[in-house]
Order: sequence, then C-alpha cells, then structure tokens
Amino acid sequence: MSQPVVEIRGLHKSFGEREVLRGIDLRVDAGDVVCVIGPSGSGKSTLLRCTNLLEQPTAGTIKLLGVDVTDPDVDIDRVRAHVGMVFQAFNLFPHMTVLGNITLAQRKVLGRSKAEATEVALRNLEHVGLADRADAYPAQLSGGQQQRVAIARALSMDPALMLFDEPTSALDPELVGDVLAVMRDLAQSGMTMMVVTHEMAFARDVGDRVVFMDEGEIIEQGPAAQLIGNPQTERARVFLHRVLHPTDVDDSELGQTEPPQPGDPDYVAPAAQSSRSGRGRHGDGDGTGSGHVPLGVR
Amino acid sequence: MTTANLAWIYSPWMAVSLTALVLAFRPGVFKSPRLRSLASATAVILLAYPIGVLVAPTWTVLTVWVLPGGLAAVSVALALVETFALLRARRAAPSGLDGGQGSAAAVLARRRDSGSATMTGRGTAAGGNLVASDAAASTTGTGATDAAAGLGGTAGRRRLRPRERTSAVRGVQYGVLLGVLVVLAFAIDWPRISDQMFTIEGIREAAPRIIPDFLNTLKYTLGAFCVSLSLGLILALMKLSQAKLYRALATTYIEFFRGLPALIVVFAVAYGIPMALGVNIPSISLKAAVALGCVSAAYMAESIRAGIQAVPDGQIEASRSLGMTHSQTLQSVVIPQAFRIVLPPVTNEIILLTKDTSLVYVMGLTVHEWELSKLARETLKVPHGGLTALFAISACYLIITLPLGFLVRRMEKDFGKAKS
Repeated sequence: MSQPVVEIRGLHKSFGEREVLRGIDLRVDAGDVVCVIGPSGSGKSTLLRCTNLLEQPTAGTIKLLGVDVTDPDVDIDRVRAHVGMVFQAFNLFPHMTVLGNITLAQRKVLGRSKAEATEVALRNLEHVGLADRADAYPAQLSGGQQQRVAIARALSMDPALMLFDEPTSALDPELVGDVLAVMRDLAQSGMTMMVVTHEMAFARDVGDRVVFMDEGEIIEQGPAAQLIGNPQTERARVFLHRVLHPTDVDDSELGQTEPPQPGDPDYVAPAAQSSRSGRGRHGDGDGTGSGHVPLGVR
Repeated sequence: MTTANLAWIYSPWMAVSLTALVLAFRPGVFKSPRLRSLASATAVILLAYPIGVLVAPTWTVLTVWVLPGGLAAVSVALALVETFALLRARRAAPSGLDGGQGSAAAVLARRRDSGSATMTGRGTAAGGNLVASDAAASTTGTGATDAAAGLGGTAGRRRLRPRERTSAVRGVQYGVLLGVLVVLAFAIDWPRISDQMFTIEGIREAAPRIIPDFLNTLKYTLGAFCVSLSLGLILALMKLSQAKLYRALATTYIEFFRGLPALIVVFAVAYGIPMALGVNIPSISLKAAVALGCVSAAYMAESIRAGIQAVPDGQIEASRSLGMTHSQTLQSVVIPQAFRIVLPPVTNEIILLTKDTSLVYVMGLTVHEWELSKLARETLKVPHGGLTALFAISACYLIITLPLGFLVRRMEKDFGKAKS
C-alpha cells in the first residue's frame, strides 16, 4: 500500500487553557476526498490548519506525503508547495490582477518562467471557467469568482493535496453551486482533498469519506452515504437532523445539541434506537431501513 | 500710500465682505427675504468701500465708515432678534391638538360648533382639511396658534420644529461670526499693518535669496526623508521580528528619539558625531539629512509598523500556504499592501520634516546653505524690513505643505473608497 498523503496521529492543540483538539487520528490516502463536518467550535478548521502547519500542534505527529511536518527541522515551505489551501475568506492578493495572483507563487517558489507560469495559470483559469477575467482585479469579481480564482491559484502549484476550509460558507447561495462544481470536477479527476464544509449534499455526493467531529474529537467516520444517511452515533444523528431539517426542530428541542441523557423523558436506551419513531422523521417507506435521514431540500 | 499698498491692506476687508455675501445667500441662514436683502446690501457696500477708497481716496472716511458699519451692525442685530423671536414663539405656543385641546374629534366638534369663519386656510389641524368646507375655526383652539402665527410662524410648524430649531441656531452662529469679523475689520489698524508687514522694500533685500533658499529647504527635506524612510522601515521590521534582541533595540531607539527635542538631536549630530568619530563632515546636507532623518525615523517606524500589522492575517496565511518564504511574503504581499495604508501618515511626516528644516541653522550655515527660516531671521535684522519677509517666507512654506496636505486628504478618501 502506498504511503498515505496525510497521516495524523494523536494530534492535540490547545490555545492557552482551551484544548481545541483532543487526540485526533486521521489518515487520508491518495485520491481520497475526506469531508470534515461538525458543529462550530468542534475543531474542524483547527484540524485543517494544523495539517498545513498554519497552527503549531501542541502534541502529536502529522505526516504529509511522508514528511513529518511536526519535526522542528522540517523545511515547511517546501512541503507547503505541494499542498494547496483554499480559505473561507478567499484571501486573494488585492494589489495584483488575477493573473498576477496565480503566477506569483509559481515564479517565486517553483521558479517557473513568466511565460510558463502564465500558460499554467490560463489553463487552470479555463478549468474554473474564468479564462476571460485574467486581467481583472479581485475587487472587480464576485465572491464565487474570487473563490474560483483562489482554487485556480492553489491548483497552479500542482499540489498533491488540496485543503478546503469552508470554501462556500462566505458565498451567496446562488454562487455556491459554481464553486462546488469546480470542487466536484477536481475530485473526479483524482485529487486528494480534505474539505471542511457544511454542504451535506456535496459531502454525500462527492466525498468518499466523512468525518464527524465534536469538541475536538472524531466522533464518527465512515463512507459518506452511510454516515450522512444512517449515522451510527446519537451525537451525529442529532447534528445531522438539526442541519438537514432546521425548521423541524421542535420548540422543546431549542438549544439541545446534545443527545438526550438518561433521566430525560426522551432518552432511549441504545438497543432500541433503530426502531425509534416520531420527532419529525419522514420517508419510512423508501426501503432503506428505519432511522434513515434523507437529505431534504433546505 | 501707493495703490499696491492699499490693495494689500484692504484685501482682508474684501475677504470679510465676500464672506458676508456668501453667508447671506446660504439657504436657511436668513429665512426672511427682507433680512436677506439687507444682509446682501451690507455685503455689497462693504465690498465697494475699499474699491472706493482706492479709486477716490478723498471720500469722507466718516461717511464711508458709518454707512457700511451701521448696516452690518443692523443686519446682524436683526438676524439675532428674529432668531430669538422664533425661539420664544416656539416655547410659548401650545403643544397642539393632542396636548391641551383634547382629542381630534372634540376639536372638530368645536370647529363645527363655533361658526366663526376665520379659517386661515393653513390646515394646521391634523384633520383640519376635513372641515375646510365648514370654514370654521374654534376660537379657543386656534386662538393661540394664531398668536404664534402672527409672530411669523408658518403652516405645520410643529412638524418642522427640529429643523427650524437647527436653522435658528445656525442663524445665531452665523450672526455672531459675522459680527466678530466686522468688529475685527474695523478694529485692526490697516495702514500700520501695511507699513510693517506688506512693504515692497522689506522683501527687496531678501528677494534674490528666496528661490535658492527654497531649494535648499527642499534639499534638506528630501534628504531627511530618504534617511527617515529607510531607517524607519528597518526599525519597523526589527520591531516585528521574532528575535527579542531586535525588538528591544528598535523599541529603545524609538522611545529615545521620540523623547528628545529635534533641536538637541540636530546639535548632537552636527557636533557630536564628527567629534566622536574624529572625522570632519563638510557636507551640511548630509549632516542635516542624518540628524533630521534619525528623529523622523522614530515616528516613521511606528507608522510603518502599524501599516504592516494592518495587512490582514489571511494574506500572510495564503501566501505561506502557497509555499512562499517569510521574506518573499513580506516583499511581494505584505509591504505593497502596507505601503498603501501607510502613505497618508508618511506624507504627513514629510510635512513635519519640512518644518523641522528650520533647525538646521545650529550647524552653522554659510550663506549658500541658508534655508528659508534662516533667511527670515536674517531679514528681520534689516532696518525697514519689518515682518514682510516673514510673510513671504511663510508663503513659501505653505507652497510646500498645503499641496501635500491636499494630497493626503485625497489619498485617505481614495483608500477609504477602495477598502469598502
């Protein structure tokens, strides 16, 4: 078996007193598309940023492409040249044109000539559908266009791994589709991707594996369709129910993000969970088993 | 007194008159037309006075002083009186239908009942228009409002109260301002000022040196600016560095040079450095540039550091994520953006440096090295110079600093727009 692209063991990260990541073990193989989901504050973005060493882990090891980046002697810039990152806030360089944004790192880090860098840039802009905006400044583009330029910028470095930190969270709903389409094409072309997202449809349709995190730990992980369709843990179930059916949340359930504990009238012992009814579930008749949580239209 | 001198003297006078004229026509200052025409007439006469004196100096000063002065005083007083009357009427008027008169329905009933036909057609009541056909006005209801209206109020004034209050206050302020200007215009001894501060003989001796000294001032300013910018950038980067030593050194330098008066630093550099190093530096420009640059660098460093820190963290994260090193990030991403942010404070620093060049004299300047302030001081020693040279040289300084100030305001506006 070839070496994993990302191998995280026992990752801990604390910000002062607050422990944000409590022992994460994760492995991403080549060609995998791993989607990390979870409530806010669960540590998903911190996990992604630690992978890239934008945050320094407190403990644990991270191996990217076989290189231990938690080693103090590592040349992190060389490793980062093989890892592309796309941010929620796009982070395009406002004082340069789109073309300038994309060719800057190619020339400085990879040492490509201006002509070569421009050619690669235009090719990637073509892939994301923005070849005609090469000379525009970021301020002249819409949010969705800026994010696609950011993706093209990361792709132009020919990375082995792409990290996406909530790429569509800052976009108008209408523009989200464009960016997700680009990411889907990227996944289908075999890129290894780690995506932190709230877009469950994307996670289910494009992701190979979904990782559900809460309070700094991985609660559940598994194949995308299975985890989102039929979560095994109660915490994941509560989370997905609230995310996929936001208007179904009962008044009595307001603020209840934790599954009911023993002593709560709604508590159901684990053995009886699979035959639970009520609480606004639909679609018992679709033959995929009880407890199925279909992805409704939001 | 020559015509030119008279023109000098009365230019402030004309400025006052023009101000009065402009104020008279500003909307909302004088509500009543007769007051506005009175104020404009005053302004025109004020304007005509100096022209008249220039053209026909034999006019009786008394006549020419009393007429415009009196008109000005009268119009100011009238503006104030009318404003106070408005305010007093506002306070005296009843609070309206809802206040003392009961419900609107009761008022309408009263109107219908009273049978008096003195509806003023102003539609003051909320439902007043409903009873226009009745042509009735209750004596008790509208009596008080009529009284207030008689003092010059207009229809629907209760709704306009805040706006009218603002314009009344504004009117008082303008009236006071106008009054102060007029008093000053009369109080100042214009002929004496003309003799002392605006004589041609005063600057005749200094005139040949004005341009060379202006250029010297520019030379010292630019030299100091170059030193200040480079040293300031280095200090800013040191202060942001990971190494504690660099941070400590930079902070020490900045606190030290910000705490000392520039004069002392210039002195120290001019005499101290050659003495300490055992060399003789002949070039005044170099010494001036170093001395002034050292002081200015302390302030510049803080501005540049703030500018660098103002560049969003996301930019650095994106740049590092692409594999660029720390210095590549600084060079290609951070500093170009910081430059835009920092440009207004840096331009301010140039303005301050221009004025600091006045301290260069302590180094001991030959005549060819004089800058503008030195020239001004030397000219004061000339017997019939008076303060004229001072004014001319101040104008020279303003030629440098005013356009720069304008540039700064333009830049701040442009960057404000670009950011949002």
